Amino acid sequence: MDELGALFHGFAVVLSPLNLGLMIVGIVLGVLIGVLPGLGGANGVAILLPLTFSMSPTSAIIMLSCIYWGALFGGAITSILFNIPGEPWSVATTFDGYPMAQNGQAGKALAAAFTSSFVGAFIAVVMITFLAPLVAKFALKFGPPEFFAVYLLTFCSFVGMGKGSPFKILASMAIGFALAAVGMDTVTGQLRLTFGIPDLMRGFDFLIAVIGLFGIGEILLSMEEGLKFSGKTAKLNPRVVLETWKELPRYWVTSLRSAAVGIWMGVTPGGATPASFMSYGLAKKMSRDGAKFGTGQVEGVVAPETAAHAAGTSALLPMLALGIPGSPTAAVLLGGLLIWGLQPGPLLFVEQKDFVWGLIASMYLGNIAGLLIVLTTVPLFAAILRVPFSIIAPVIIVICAIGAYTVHTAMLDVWLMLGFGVIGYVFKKLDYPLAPLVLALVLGDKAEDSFRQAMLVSQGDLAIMWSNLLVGSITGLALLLLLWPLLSRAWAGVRRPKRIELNREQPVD
Amino acid sequence: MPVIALTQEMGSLAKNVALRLGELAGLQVMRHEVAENVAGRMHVETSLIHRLRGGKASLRERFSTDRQQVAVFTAEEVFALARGGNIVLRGWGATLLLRPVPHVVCVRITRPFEQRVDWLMENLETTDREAAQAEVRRSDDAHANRMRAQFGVTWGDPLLYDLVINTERVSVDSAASQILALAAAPEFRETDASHACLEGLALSARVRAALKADEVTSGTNIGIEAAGGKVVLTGLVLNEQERDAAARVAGAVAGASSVENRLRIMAVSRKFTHSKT
Repeated sequence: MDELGALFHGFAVVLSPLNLGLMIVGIVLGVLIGVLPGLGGANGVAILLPLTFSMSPTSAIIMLSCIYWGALFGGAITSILFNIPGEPWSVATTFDGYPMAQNGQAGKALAAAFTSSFVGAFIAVVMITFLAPLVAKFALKFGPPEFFAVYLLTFCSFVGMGKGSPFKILASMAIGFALAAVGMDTVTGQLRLTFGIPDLMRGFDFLIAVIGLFGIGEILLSMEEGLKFSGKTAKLNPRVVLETWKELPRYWVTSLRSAAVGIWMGVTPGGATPASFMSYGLAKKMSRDGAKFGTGQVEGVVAPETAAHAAGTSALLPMLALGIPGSPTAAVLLGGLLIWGLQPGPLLFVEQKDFVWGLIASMYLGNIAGLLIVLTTVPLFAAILRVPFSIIAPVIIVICAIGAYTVHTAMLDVWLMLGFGVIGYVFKKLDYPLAPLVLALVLGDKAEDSFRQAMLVSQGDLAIMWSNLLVGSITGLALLLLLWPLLSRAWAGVRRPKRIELNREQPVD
Repeated sequence: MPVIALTQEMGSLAKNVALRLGELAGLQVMRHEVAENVAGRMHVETSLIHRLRGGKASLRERFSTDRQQVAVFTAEEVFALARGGNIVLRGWGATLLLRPVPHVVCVRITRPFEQRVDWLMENLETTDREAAQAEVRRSDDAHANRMRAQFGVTWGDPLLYDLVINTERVSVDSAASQILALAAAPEFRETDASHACLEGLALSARVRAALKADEVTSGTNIGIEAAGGKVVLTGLVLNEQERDAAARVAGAVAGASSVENRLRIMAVSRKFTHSKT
């Protein structure tokens, strides 16, 4: 029970007035990011990262992670009130949330969505509290070959578990690796792919890429759609909330199942969006009221929201314990760690106890604070969305530009951001996934470093990747996942093809 | 043309009551038609359906059989028989399926456990009391589980029926005459409205069975409301193909004059540059 002692120490760290204040500011900003089109968890956190440069690492991570929780909460508001998902993982919430709002149950739907988000996050945080130290302790035994194997597993699981064409995922990842290679080679000190341009010596900062790809790209997509928010108004009074809370324990099976799906999809790089779709599909299939799903069932709001939040929260487990981000937002937080002068990885649990346990404690408190804040401020955020998109969009682009500029105070970064925005738009139009690109950009040089260290140890012998049971099984699993699309296709050829459980058009990354 | 729905409880003498009702009021008595028709539609042996109902199917059979399919086809058969009128229906969830129809009398016939065991021992000509007890328990469990899974009710709850008769002391004749007296009461009179209600339920059951039988729509789980030949489809399907197929299949069902397609599609309504958190 060392974890509990450490956790209470973490609570002591978080409960200082400054940190509590930052937590509330973070949640409010996060919800705003969640409801605004064009700003999501990853680029929202990236834009606000410079705000934290002058803070202590613990205060900074508390604020940033609270922005993230807020963004996770916020997506549901637009889904339920306007039938326009604010974030991709709240798409499944529109299926039953909006019909509920149409039936005059908007308050109930919102209360159910927020509460089950909280439940999903809470279950995932409990899992992180007890699992992360164990994984970190285990990972302390890792050497370069093990780390490279884990990186390889992360990359390959994108191919194996991603939806859509595996070749598109590989192509996107390869572009990410190429971008990661630009700049100075850390082992030999040679310049690579700079073409004599001095500004490229710095390499491509992934924060710029995240802001551009996810922020500008999405604004372009939304402009094309001609987004218009018109829908139901929300009134959330305490009576409705209490009545909903009385009803929710009835769906405990759905909650637990969705949380399990979410945690699994979060820890493996499946992501929150597939998790929310999958748990919605499972709930529809297993519920007795499955036929009524889509006409305004509380259970249809509970399932995707629980799963999305559980996935979003548990995506931080590999980042914390191994220093390997499973999602773009985790990558941004990891980038933050480096900027604040911390070395991400399993040693964090040994050397930076305040930081790690402060973060974990803030996951508990941040979600409680988030639940209270969203329950009380929904009408405010709904009102913001009634501002026309033609006013919101330029403001967001300016915010993105400021965010990109402050990373290195270089004007080139703003142009790069715009360039990445165009790439993001084109990628999405062609149905290429962006997350593999971002993660390859973040992890590319780390993976290269550990690979080259491993090669130095083994004097160039690849067999080191199979030299012991641990590294061998991770490498084997990685290769299995890499070949999974081929294997599953071969398997489908032998057996009768299975019915497609989810829509083919779901997001590819 | 009364329609009487009875429960089926092993050893409860419900069968004797049903036969007596048939004799007294000149009603048809349902025998094995449902099992035969359902098995025919699913292309399986009739005995498999009986084994599933009695809780005697093997583990493999239980997993490999689509219970929803059995339930949907059963409901279609029960409604088809009830539409014909002048019939005593026993078991197959008839009391619950026909409960919303005002002119159908829903009766539960029950008897203490030990007497049911005695009945079974006599019937099987055995002296092994424990085996008979186990048999009755297994049958009860199978029924209770199916009722919970299919209708979400507790099997045997008196609120589910219009009349509960315990044949411990009530004779088969008295039971039959009680039921007939109730069937003749004004609240069970057949009206146009009650017939329309039955027609609507029967049509929606036919549509559901047709959707289940069609290859494209067999996996869908949607709401079907039917009244006066007008079918309304609500709920969620995976894609446009399923939505259109559902409307087409529903429109082709006998008795469906028009189909209102309110199905929504489980699709991503906006493009996002990111789908990960």
